[in-house]
Amino acid sequence: MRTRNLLVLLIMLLIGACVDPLKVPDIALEEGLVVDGAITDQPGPYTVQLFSTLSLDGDLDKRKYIPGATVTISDDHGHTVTLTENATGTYQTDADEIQGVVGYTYQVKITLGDGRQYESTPVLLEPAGTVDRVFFQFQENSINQNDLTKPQDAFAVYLDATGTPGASNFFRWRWKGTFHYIAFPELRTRGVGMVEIPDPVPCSGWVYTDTAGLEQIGPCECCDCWAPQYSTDALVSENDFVSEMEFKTVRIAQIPIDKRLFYEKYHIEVEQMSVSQDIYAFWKLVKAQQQSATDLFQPAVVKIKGTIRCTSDPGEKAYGIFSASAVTKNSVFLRRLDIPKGIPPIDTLKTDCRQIYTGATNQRPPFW
Amino acid sequence: MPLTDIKDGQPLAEVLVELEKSYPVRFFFASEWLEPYTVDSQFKGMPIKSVLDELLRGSDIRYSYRFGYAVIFIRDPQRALEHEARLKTAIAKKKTIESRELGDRRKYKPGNRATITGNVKDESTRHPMAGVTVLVNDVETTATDEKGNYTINVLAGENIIHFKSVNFRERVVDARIYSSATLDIILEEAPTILDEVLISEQAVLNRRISQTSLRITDMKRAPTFLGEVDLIKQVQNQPGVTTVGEVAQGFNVRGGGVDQNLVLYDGVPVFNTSHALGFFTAFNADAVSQVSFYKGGIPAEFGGRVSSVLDIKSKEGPLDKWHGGGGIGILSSYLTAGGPVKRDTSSIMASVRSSYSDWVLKTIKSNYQDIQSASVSFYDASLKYTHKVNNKSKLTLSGYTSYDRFSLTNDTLYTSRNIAASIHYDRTFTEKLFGTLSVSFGKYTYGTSDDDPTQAYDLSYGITYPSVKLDFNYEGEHKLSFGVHHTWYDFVPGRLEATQSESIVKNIDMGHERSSESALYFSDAFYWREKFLLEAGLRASFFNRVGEGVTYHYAEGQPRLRQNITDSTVYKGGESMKTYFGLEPRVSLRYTLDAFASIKLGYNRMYQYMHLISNTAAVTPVDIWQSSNTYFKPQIADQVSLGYYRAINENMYEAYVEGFYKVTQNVLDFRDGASLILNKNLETTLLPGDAEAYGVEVSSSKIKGRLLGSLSYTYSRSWRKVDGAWEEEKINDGNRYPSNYDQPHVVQLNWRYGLSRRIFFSGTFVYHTGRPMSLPISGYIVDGVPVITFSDRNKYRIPDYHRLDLALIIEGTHKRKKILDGTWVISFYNAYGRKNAYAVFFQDNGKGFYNPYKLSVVGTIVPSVTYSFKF
Repeated sequence: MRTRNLLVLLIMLLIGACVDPLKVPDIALEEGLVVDGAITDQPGPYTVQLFSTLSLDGDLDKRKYIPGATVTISDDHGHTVTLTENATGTYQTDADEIQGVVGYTYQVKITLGDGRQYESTPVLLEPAGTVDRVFFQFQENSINQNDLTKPQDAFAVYLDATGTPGASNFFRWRWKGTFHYIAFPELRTRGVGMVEIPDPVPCSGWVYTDTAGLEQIGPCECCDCWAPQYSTDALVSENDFVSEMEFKTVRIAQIPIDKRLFYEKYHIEVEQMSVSQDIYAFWKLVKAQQQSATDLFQPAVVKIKGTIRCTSDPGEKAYGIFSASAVTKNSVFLRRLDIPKGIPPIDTLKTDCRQIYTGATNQRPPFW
Repeated sequence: MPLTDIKDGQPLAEVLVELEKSYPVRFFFASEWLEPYTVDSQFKGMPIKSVLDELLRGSDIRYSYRFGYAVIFIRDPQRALEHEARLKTAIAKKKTIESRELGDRRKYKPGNRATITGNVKDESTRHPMAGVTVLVNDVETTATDEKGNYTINVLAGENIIHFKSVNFRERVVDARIYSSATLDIILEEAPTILDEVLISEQAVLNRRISQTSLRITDMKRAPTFLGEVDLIKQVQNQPGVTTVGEVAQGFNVRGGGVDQNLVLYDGVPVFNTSHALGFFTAFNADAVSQVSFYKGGIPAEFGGRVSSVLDIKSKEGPLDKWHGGGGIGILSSYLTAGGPVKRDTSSIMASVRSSYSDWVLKTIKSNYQDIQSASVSFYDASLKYTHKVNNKSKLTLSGYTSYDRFSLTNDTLYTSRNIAASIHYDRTFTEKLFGTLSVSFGKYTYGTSDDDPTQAYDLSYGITYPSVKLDFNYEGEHKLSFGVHHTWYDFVPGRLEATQSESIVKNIDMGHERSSESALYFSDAFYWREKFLLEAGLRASFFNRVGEGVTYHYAEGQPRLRQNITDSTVYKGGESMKTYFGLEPRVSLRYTLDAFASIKLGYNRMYQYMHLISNTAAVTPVDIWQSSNTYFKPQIADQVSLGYYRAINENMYEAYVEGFYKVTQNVLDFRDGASLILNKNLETTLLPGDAEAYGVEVSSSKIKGRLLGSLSYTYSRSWRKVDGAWEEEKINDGNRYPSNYDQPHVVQLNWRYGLSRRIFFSGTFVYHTGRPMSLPISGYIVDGVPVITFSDRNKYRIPDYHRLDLALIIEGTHKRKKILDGTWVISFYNAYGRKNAYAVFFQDNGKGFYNPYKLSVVGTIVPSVTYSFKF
């Protein structure tokens, strides 16, 4: 509940409250193995990644992967597959070697190069249920804590879902957003002495020569792009308050009304993944951690254990999960027309559109 | 020189004069010395020497035979000199001394002891005054009880008796006491003068162990935060008391939680003592007459909370004429008025305080549009009606309410309301026995709501607690108190309702949780061999959680988790679901070493049948009060305290050192990631553990003179241990860890210097170790979601806290008769602008991980000006 943050914010301003970075005592980083792996009922390959925990001020994009391990996935029906290390620390199954089956129980076992052994809590692959509907609502002034320097309005995206009778119906949701935007790489310029001269990006299809000036020599390859966005929030079903197995109007995402995101329209695809009780408990704690960590009141400490343990040395720290899920999907387009207000035109991005967002591509997605 | 011709009852002086006629002897004496002495026929034929020896034994009169003819009588120089010295001191201090003769002159026997009893009343209101200190020959002896009565036992002869009460002109009686007698006293309110005798209502030697009385004058002459005179902030200045920060409701006593303090307003518990989330106290200091604070050795009449008792008594209206006052501050104003409804029979006292802070918010220019559309408001009000039914009985009606409201973004609203109303009927049965019947009603409701159509909701909580109490006091050689209390509780642990049809909020109603708490107590205070004052008591409490309700059963041999629920029992309305019974012994012992020093010992066991469920260090608007049930056993605290107290330099200074050790069972702490709001299985998210606290408080005060002040240092620790049978039911692997309020070193200094009779410079300095916290230590990403690993619970600490507050108080002239008496208070809170960390929180560093930041709620010096007046 953001109420409390606002309350404090309010009084803070009254009495000159302030926020400063806290100098934290030097804390020795507790390095431990992290396992991030999953098997689903969708076709493989499935990936298990092994890496170390990172210090919080470190660069998260530079994961410290752990190579040279032996990783196996086994089920309770006598199958065991050994994964291949395709990239450093990234272990994959062969494409059709194994596929998750509802009702089977899966477990990962890991032996590191130095002999330390780990295993995951066995997880039951439960049915996925259905995502009946993904829908949205325009909400004014609903984000960024009314910080007027940032977008205020947003689409709230919801879903209605149904579980499977007889199953435990613990779900985790994740989403992928896709939006189309344009750039103007042909308008790039560069300074020569005191003057700016055109310097179109080659992929724009335009060239500039002193003699002929600007000239289009081909189609633009980097003017129209589609960029993905992924959920970073832990989203799990609230099974506490649901007597049956229907989940109504579960808020999944909040997409800010932004001139680039809504240059044309925004596609959001939601995946509903069944999770076992242990994995559900893990995500639930992550959710609690995310909700409370930025609370201005004393944030609740949420220690998250995960489902991995070291079998060769019980004192050795291990983090992460190996999950087994059935997956079902649904999606919806958020259109510019659905915004009941005018929004400004897209800004003039004078560069290769693929370089603006990570994962951006100039290939129109099949569903577009 | 035998006595030959004497009559029964003949004055000694006369006999001696007779003897001079018959023998060559001269007696030298002052006739008033021998006035009380008479001879009777039994002395016939005895030598005069034996007669004098017999008569004067144990008195302060001596004699010597000199020069072969002279018998010179002298007063015992020591006692006489002391007497003279005391009178001189009193005169030097410009105190008026009244001479009184008490008792029957004929019953005077030197060396006899006499009992003086009496009653002390307030001149203006004619109400009996409790807690008036009575000093005999500069040695503090006793204090008046609740009915204004006192009893002292003195050596017959000349004695100087002082009657002192804060804010009242001291009365000094030079009493020649012949035999037991009564001495009634009326004290008049003192115009506040520079050399005001600032003995607390009871000086350190005489108080119970771990007890303090807060002085209203101290509060009014202390620096304020935004101009609000603050009772709770004064409590927080007591040794052994800490707070987690400015935005913290309540206070922590000796390592205990905020919910462990019993705050009584005219006998009715008040759950929320703060306005605006803890920035200000919800009591108007002008409407309060007496505040007693117990942190150990708690008397048997109090129960229901395990850490401390803050007993606030409101002012009664004067019985003779109307008086009033008010104050104008930056944030709020208040007005109080009181006077007779029927002269000398009934009176009324009313007070109102209200904020007008919205305009402050409106003037703030900010990027945050919330601020400008927000509103913060609060008020509190009290009313007291007193009616003397007859000489023996009195009826008092008291009502108190406070209300808070924050409105944010035009949508989100937080409200809280306290109501405490009571009717007291006091009756004196005999001179020594009196009783009080109280019927009270209390209610505390709070919640948040939002009226944005799509998510409109109203989340409300509440506790309703009507109560009946019958208390008796017997004042004799044994001071007995006994009584019976009964309280009904109706908790609403959460009700979420969608308030508009479009709202997507699901209605969730946690229902009502009803329970009752009864107690029977008895306590006896008496002197043993003069030097020991022993007060021993026992309280028996009984708790009954009644239906309707559901108790869930969990699989045996498995951790108590939701998935392990096997069954549930549904109870009908009124059906008993769980009962607890507790025996709570209370002992308080004082051993007087000499006139200047005493040793005190206290022990108490307390039961608490309700719990404040929170997963934050500070109390927040959405914390839940929960009664005990099958899984939440009552909190049981045992505390032992021991102290040495000393008055120094004629009571100019006092000092003490007090140690305590306290263990509390069944203290609840939350499981990691616990979701507390609207949780029907709270027992799965809270873990019972033990708390242990110990410490030493050293304090010294200067209580007389131009400069007054105190300096104290406390070393204390507060630990928790949660070691359940399962890994899921342990915190920090079952090892003990510091509680949220573990602040080992605390230094408190406050002073008040009289620059003149009307101008005071006062200040407060506090230092305490930063409170414990847990820090994120590393992180990782699983399936695109960042996850943080935390340190063990409360392994690290926020930076140390220190703060200096200064104030200049300019009071009006001190003429007793005048129309308006105005006071200006200019305060500088946080004078050197220390950015004390209130909380540590984490902000996304742009990569999904969090970096720690400290929030300083008060980040600069906060000046304020307040004007208050009296008429």
